Amino acid sequence: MALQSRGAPSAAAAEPDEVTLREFTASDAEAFMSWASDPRVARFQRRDAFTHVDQARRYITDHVLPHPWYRAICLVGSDGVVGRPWVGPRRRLEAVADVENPASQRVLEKAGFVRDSVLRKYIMLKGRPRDMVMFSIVVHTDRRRQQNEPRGVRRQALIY
Amino acid sequence: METVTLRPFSLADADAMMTWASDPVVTAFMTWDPYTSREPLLAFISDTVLPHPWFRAICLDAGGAPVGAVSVTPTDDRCRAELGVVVARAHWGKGVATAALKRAVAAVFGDLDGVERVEALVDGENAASQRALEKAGFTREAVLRSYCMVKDRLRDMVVYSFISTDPLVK
Repeated sequence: MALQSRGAPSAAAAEPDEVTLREFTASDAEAFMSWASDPRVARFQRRDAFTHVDQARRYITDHVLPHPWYRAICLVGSDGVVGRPWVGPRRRLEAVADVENPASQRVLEKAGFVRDSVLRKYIMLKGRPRDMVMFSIVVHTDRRRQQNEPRGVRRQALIY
Repeated sequence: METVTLRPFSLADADAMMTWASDPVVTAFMTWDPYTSREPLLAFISDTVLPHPWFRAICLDAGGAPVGAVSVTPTDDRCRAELGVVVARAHWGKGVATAALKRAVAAVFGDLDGVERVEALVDGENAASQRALEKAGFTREAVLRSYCMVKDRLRDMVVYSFISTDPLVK
């Protein structure tokens, strides 16, 4: 979980009142490293923890900047980045979280996602097939969270 | 209950394939439209079916023409593959799809390296295909709401899966 991995005890202990989202820039590479290099965060990611800031720079350039919708999470009152979700304006938004990752499952439930089911041996994570819990929000049916008008049908996020 | 055999396709199967591929009732739940001429179907066989890692003709007797097709397509995740099955309308209601599914799951895990999950996405209103999957031992896992567009309509899809360790149904 990006917020918990930030390291500052006060940020981990108390829930922030508000976060803002903004686009990433290349200069966010060091901030990106604060979670991308943390093995606790990388545990449920497909890729291993980054070991050098150049990896973050390359990832931002090759993957984040060209992405249709990839946002930095910033705590209100700071311009620094603490994490990054990626979602898109769509009819159906879905997310999968590892069955052994209850923290991320709680994040999704609190955000209004509906728990669909467990999909057995759904995704390869670090060389092993993992059971994943599928969550979804359907725009116009569930409580809306997106500001943008939906385009297209479905977008999937992998929640770490 | 029919017994079936599965074999690879060849270009010589194009006419038999046309029987189901041109039938709008058969393709009602498919993302693709029925074929109206032979050339695009030949191209589909050449470009997609023949090089495919696992695409089989469903035959009622060993030497006969196919009455349908079953395919298992690996995804970007090495452990997961997607199954599709189609049967000509003249052979509906006889257990052909069920028999083909049983044969497929008995063979595919040995044939496709690394695959541990075979999943099928079925339209929420396609009761016949759902029954065939259940009889073949697939587990109904979830209903995915507003999952995809099929022929300009937003559809709920039901996910079925068969894991390599699941028991085979005789």
